[in-house]
Amino acid sequence: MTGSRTITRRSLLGIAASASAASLAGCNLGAGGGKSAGGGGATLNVWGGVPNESGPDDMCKAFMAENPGTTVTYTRYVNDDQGNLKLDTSLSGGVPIDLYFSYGPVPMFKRSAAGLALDLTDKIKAESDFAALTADATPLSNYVLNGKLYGLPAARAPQQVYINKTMMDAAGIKLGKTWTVDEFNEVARELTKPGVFGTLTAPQLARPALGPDYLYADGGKRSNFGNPKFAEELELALRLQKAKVAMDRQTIIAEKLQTFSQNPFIAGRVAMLIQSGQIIRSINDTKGYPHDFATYCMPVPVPAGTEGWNTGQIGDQISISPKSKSPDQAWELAKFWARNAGKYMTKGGRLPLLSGESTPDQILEQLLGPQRDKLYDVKSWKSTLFESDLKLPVDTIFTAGTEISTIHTKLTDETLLGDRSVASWVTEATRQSDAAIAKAGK
Amino acid sequence: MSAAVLAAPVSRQARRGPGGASARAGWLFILPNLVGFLAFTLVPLVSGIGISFTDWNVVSGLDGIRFVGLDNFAALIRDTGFWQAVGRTVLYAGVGVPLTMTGGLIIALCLNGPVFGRSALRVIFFVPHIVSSIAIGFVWLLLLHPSSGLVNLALQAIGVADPPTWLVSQDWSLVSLILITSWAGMGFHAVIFLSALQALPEDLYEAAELDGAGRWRQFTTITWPSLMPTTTFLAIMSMIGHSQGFGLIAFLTQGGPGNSSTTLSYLMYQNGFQYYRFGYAAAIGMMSFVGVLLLSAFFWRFQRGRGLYS
Repeated sequence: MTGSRTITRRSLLGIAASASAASLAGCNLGAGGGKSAGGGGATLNVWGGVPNESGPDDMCKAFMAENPGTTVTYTRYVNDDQGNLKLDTSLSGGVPIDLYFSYGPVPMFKRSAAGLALDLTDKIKAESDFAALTADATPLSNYVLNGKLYGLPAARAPQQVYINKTMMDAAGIKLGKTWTVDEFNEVARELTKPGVFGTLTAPQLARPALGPDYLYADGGKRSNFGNPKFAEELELALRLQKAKVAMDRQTIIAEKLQTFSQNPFIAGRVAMLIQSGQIIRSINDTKGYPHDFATYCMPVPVPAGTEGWNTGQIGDQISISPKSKSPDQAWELAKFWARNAGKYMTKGGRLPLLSGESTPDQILEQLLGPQRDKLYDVKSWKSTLFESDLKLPVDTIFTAGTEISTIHTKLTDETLLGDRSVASWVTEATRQSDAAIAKAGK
Repeated sequence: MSAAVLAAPVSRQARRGPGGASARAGWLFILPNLVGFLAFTLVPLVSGIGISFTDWNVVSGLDGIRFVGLDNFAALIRDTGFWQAVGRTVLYAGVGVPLTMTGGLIIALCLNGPVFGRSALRVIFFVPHIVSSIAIGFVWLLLLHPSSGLVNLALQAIGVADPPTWLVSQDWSLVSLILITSWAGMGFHAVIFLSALQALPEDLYEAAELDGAGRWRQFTTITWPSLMPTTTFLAIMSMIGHSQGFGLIAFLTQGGPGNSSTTLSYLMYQNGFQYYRFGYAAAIGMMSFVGVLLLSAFFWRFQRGRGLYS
């Protein structure tokens, strides 16, 4: 009797989170996104950051067609600080979520550490086509923590160099399939003209040279900013900026081009742009971003004498909530999603980690859209994405990851604005990051 | 008949009683506001105080709340980043509040006289107060662009060879934010000052004129003392607004470049929403709350006895 009247702390949070979830889901339904729950079978609730129309709706439809009686509802959350917090409070508050996406290992492991993700180690091991994604695979293609897997990755998010082909042809530049950082710099210099920067930013040196866990030393006990590659990277950025080959940091910050890097590229203010795949959505949108040149693609340049790791990452980690009432069906959907990402999710600019039954040509067709022959040099895209030796680093240490990323960005801004020397950058980055690591370890 | 006449006052008396229909109606009238106050002010305030004594990352749910006593406050006191943010907040509010109020007062004094198009001007000055801070931020982002912004083009046109880079300079980002916030707040201050000015009795000024007092003397002995309660109210409100100022900072600078515009409110956001250290963020909020409370009490105490009608 008393029990039925008691509202626990958990249920209170659950009610609040349910209300916010309902409002979120309502928005998506309004946008033609979700499906109403019903039918006799299981209802699976999926939360992800990709807009409904950019693939998730098609994916859900296809799964429901193959699994009659199962209903899938996709709720979109915006993958920013507030959106992730909404997902976290909903998960911990008891909102019915069976499957959810994390974008990057740091938020995923934050959730798994709080008991909000099922251990998928054995489930992934049981699937023969997921052999590369197991915890003991060599090389690693999945994020592992203490020997366990909490996410099934569905996408790879490599960075590549976007090049304005009209400018490239006008300069008479011919490129091979790969290039070094020195060659990239030379091309950037040749492409620099009055009113046009050769590149938006300088290429990275530390990540391509050091690979996984490049930010950490001593197995994660301290930061690695004392490694000379970081100082070299900054010195190169300063040199290119001073020579006006790379856009100055002042303009980048003033116009928020860290977030909207597609704008100067599509507007023809920079000839080259180093970015991951989300830019493709803007290039394909010729109404929102009208332009008359084709985009050529090259892999990120490799610092001479290094392994040449890509500066992107493995993405779209699918996790299953331990509170799911249908964990087996949720796993079925997770598998379906990973295997069919090439078919349904590529049009949103997301490259599948497993190509499944899709051929490279089919994936490119989806990725580059119906105007691909006009907007892209398709051959260079095929060569870069499918024929080059793409090495995506898979980190295993994430201590104070968000704090270190903020410290890195802020100090780099200060240095490129001319307010801090490279030597001081190294000292401060090391001091502040070591302090953040020590604090997180307590 | 007479019994009925006598009965009426008894019935009204009963209705006025503590548990009567009249009291119930009163409670019903204030209920919406009371519920709003409880839900959106009291509960968050008490929760915030409670969370400041915990280590909580939200992700772990309510079960993950760990009581740490005064640890967050002890860590804050040792945190140089916190004291730097305190310094910036003091500068932001210490310059921003007087600037906004002075600007508001000057506008109000100008509009209090016979000015052509006074009503239209009043609306124009008030517009920034009702416009979204994102729209304001966007306009200023364009105006303060280091190379193509109108402000720097104008400065170069009058011979300033090396104008400031405003929002992308560590030296000028906070100054820019102070200027933008003050610009956006002046209209509201002007309208409040104007309504106070228009309530002042004309005969005081007539008497002062007869005594030979000039415009400045009239201002210092009549206008300014009369405006003391309004000034105190606006000072407190403006100080609270500046100490909580977040939207424009988040949109225009994200606390940067470096940490040059990271005020307490942005530091709180960073710790809570980016680092998921909600206990620490709540402790920053509490320190900020205590600071504003003390300053508000000081202002209130300071103005007592200084106004013309106090």
